[in-house]
Amino acid sequence: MSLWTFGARLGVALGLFFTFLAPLRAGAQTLTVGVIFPLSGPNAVYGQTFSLGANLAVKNINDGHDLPNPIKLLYEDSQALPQPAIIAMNKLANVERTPFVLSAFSGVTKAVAPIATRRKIVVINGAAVSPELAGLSPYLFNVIPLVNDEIAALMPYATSKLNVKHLILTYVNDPFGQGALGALTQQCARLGCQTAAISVSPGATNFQAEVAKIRAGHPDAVYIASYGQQQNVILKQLRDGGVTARIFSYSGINLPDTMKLPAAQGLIFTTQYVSFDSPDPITKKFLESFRATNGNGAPSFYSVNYYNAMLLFAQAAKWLSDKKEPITGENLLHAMHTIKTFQAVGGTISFQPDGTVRQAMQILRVVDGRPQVIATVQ
Amino acid sequence: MIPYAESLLIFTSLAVILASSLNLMLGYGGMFSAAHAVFYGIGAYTASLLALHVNSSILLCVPAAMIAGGVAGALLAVPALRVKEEYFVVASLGFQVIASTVFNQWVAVTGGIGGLTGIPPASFMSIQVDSYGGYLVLALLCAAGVLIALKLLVRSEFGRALRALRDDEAALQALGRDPVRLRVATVVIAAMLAAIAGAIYAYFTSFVNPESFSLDESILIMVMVIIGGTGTLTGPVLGAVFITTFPALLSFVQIPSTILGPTQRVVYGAVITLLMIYEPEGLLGFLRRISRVASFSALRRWQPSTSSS
Repeated sequence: MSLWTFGARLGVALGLFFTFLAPLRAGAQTLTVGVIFPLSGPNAVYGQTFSLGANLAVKNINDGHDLPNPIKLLYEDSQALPQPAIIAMNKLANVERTPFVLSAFSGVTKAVAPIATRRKIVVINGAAVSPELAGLSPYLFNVIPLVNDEIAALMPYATSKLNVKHLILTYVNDPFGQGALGALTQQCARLGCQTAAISVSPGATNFQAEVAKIRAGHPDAVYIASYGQQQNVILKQLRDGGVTARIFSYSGINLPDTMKLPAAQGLIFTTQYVSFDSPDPITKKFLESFRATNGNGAPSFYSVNYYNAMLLFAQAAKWLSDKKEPITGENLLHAMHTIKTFQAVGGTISFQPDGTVRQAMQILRVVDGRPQVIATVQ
Repeated sequence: MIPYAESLLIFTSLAVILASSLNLMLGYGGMFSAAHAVFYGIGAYTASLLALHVNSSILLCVPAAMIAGGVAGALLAVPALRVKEEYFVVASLGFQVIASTVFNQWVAVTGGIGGLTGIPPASFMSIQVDSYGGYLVLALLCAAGVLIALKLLVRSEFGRALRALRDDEAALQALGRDPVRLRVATVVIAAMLAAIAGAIYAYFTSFVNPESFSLDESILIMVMVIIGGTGTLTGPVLGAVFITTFPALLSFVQIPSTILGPTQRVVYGAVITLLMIYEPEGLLGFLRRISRVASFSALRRWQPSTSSS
């Protein structure tokens, strides 16, 4: 057997593998939803948090027999990078033929958006907050407010109630951070507070120089616009470095590990408004099932967002199955435009024409490791 | 199914171009570079900017990407090639760091980490390439063109001089050849070829950002060359095919989502490590060994029948 003959046989074997193994994965009698999360690498911790909400929603929807067929999530590892995400999206679109995909991270969502448009697949982002995600594709919906909406909710409260007149922004130099810079500059100009900004590189871990500058600037507040472990490090180094000003941030900081940090005491941040005290059955069911599987800790908003993303799918799919229409991406989009307002954890969700969520916001303060609502903003 | 296989083949073809072009430096010239993704990225950004602001014709964007890649190659080669071996690796690493910073920070041109979106599809004369099949043909043609060019190059006097440079630089100098000029030419050619892959990538994904051209990508390209087998034309092709398709194959294995990512990465890493431990010549050496074993078994099966006849 020559090398080329061996190569040809290997090629045939791979072709057979792709042709026959792939359809076995989903099964014929399931509604498949694709999930493109970082499941390995430095951002895998986010993937696990996001998965929690999606898995919980699928379990509850399937247990309630709300749809004619059970939902099955098909996970793909994006590593939070564009190329693996494109391969994953192509697989979900063309092999698994999923009409609905959950996405996270700005770069990943931007990379999959053209495929979503071309292949008519609804994509829900529940974690990326870059302002550039607005209007990226008619098939893209953001169930998380983008960072400009969060800053617009926080700053009037900060200037009027907390008397912040001088604020320094520490932002990671990427689209999200630049979006935060633009939004904060605009809001402060409108509200008459003084701002300064210090950028940090993505992946940087030592901020002693930045902390010294902030301390010397004597601000009333510092706004952290970063994510992952970096925001924890900035938070810790600010407090260790003697910065006593109030610290503000956005929903991305709301991770259980961050809340437990001593440096997080007094941290003020925004998230979309979710009333866990709401008596509606959806919120109660979410909380009960979350606590049954994860203990009594407060669920992160990422878990809520991806739980809600699956509720949107279930409601749109139910609407279609009631009308005996096939559950395709195009039909799901039509259903979402028709339904308009969705029942979700903590209230209802609707969307702007550019795919951004229309939802009330809340401002929280961390007290003894737990975020407590101090204000809500319509 | 078919569009997925096409997209995977497109990325595989791009990987073949990248690995084969790096192999010219690494396998034939003995220059380990940790900056090959820079040329890939420069090709992608050049093609994207031209497609966005001038014209998306392949006849314009691909040659322009090659020229930009070649200029970047010269920028690395001219100062860095006064140093050799491990010092060149460090110099190329520095070049990768500088280029990544430029990709990230020159927001007005590269769009920063947010990148460039809405890159129009490739066009050729009046034909617009807007299907996966079209991009696959384009990528395969480019990969075939690169492989043919490299085959001709390594069999030419240039290729012989390059191998001589790798094996015995003093002997080459004694024959009156200038090693620095030879190295610069090699890096420039490799960079120009890598830029072709960048241009096709930009057209196909219609989105480029620095995450695709990082140091990790440079290391991955180097791994493709080493795992396939350096200094041959077939080795990097095998390495590129393996590195691109193996994770895709693993993704078909049913694994719970909680351990999916780590399991895939551990298996992937373990296979690469074991291959390097037990088959240092790479996939090409492994396949040659299988081929020898298969030929030997065929011979043994054949012998009794011939003796009985």
